[in-house]
Amino acid sequence: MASNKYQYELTYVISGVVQQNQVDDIVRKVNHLIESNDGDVLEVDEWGNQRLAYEIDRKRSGYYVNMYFKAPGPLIQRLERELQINDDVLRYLTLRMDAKMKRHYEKRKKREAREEKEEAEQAAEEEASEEDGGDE
Amino acid sequence: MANEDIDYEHIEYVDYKDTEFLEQFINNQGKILPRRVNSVPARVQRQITTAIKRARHLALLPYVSESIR
Repeated sequence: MASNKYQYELTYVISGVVQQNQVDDIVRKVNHLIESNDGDVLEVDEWGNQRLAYEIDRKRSGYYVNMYFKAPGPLIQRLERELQINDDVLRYLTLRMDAKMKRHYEKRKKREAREEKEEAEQAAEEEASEEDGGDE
Repeated sequence: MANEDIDYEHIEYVDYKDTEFLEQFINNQGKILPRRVNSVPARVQRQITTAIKRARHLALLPYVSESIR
């Protein structure tokens, strides 16, 4: 069973007029659907409310959610059906990640981890220099 | 339009989420520019085209941007 799992990237846009608690509900529902069907959610990145490049159903803004997960193939059909039925979801895009995308993803992960580390180090340094008397 | 300093040969994957990067390859109407203007390798141009189309679907980039208001 585990060998039939693939890695996917999913981005969906929830209508900007939906209340935050309803947005959280949708996100939770999607995550639950994946996890309760033998899938693993790797990362959920909520970009938040953004202006749409063009009007969709009279809406000018949308709440973007970008996520990565591992799941068996047949789940995607059911997941996309759920998103299609939900009127608050304006757009969705599911991509099965190939080797190139995975490498790109890993690279981004590594870069983010490094940046976080550097930031922490810089903050620590600044703190140390402040204690020394302010000069760098 | 395309920046000569960037090494396009070594781009492995063009991300549809990176709209800032993709915006270099569209004109002010939102059209995808031809390769002779972008001067990127064919492999990269194909990826850029797909990425722009994906971004358009998600309303990250416009299909048509109104230049006159």
